Amino acid sequence: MKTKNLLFQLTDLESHLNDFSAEKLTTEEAFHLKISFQHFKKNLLELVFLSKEKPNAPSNTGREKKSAIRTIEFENAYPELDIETYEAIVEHHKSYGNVLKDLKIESAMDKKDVLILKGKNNSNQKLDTQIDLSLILEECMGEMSLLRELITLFIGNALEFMGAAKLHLQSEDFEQLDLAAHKVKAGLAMMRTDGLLDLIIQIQKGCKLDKDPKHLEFLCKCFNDEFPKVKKALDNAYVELTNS
Amino acid sequence: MTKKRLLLAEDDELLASLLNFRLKKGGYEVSHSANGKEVKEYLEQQMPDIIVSDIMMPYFSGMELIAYVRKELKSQIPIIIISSAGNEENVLNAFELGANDFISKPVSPSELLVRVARELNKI
Repeated sequence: MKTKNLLFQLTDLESHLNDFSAEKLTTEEAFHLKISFQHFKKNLLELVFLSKEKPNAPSNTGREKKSAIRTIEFENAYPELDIETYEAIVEHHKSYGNVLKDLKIESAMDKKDVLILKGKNNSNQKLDTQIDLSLILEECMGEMSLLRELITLFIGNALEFMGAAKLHLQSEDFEQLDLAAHKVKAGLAMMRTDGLLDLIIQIQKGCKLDKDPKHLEFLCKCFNDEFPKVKKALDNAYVELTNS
Repeated sequence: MTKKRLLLAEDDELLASLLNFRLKKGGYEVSHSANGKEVKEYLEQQMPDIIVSDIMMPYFSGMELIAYVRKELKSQIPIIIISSAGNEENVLNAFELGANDFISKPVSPSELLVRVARELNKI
């Protein structure tokens, strides 16, 4: 198989992993899975690259190798790759979670990442829709009108973020997306909407680190999906407080 | 007894509303500016007794604000910085520029009130 085809396979696998992440994992787990996959991809390609190097060929630096992978020159230099095993596993396992497991991806990862992946905390539990407004009401010194004002501002800010995020994702302006996320972050922390806050933190990380539009789109989609539940929970919590 | 004048420079409406309310309840005369431009305009006309400012603000950041107050206006009024968690480098820079204290987001209004009172008592 040619390198180009391998890259297509990897892209395809990555796409399936994203779908799998969206359905089965929490945002934090999805983020770490993505990091793991990137390590896997990098290591696999470097392994292939090194295995095809001629014994007497001058050794390249890590940066040069990475660069070569990204260029067509690499394709020309190493047209055929022996990845039958890899293909067989991918074909066999339609569940991509098992692919990672069976490929013992942990061996290709840094110890730190393994620990993160193993010590995954279930953010879905955090993405609950229970909100306790009593602490915020305390901060408001019992002023319900202020609390209502804060909720209205919170909803406005979140909606503004959702609109801005859509635009910045379309233009792939990660700096602006990061700023939009920053703007909404304090409010999310204040209202103790941990699930949305977690997503915003991941979005900011994504904007600063890997700048992957697909992953960021996924995180923003999670935010958009989660927000109506949070809004409903806020309304319920407010009604509960007014009735008590 | 005259109320102490406090300038609150915070672009997050949500946080600003809460802090504005609590600081007023705490006995301060609060002026709120949502961006650096407004802050500068305010400071050109009058000097408050204390400034509470977010680090990240449009047009004129908290850092620029500290530098402006200390270097251009040559004022030593207390400045308390509001910073996001994980922004330690900015906090250090703020102290170097002349900030007196800082408080991390999410801001506890009660804690801020204590810090404001403490800074004002030092004068």
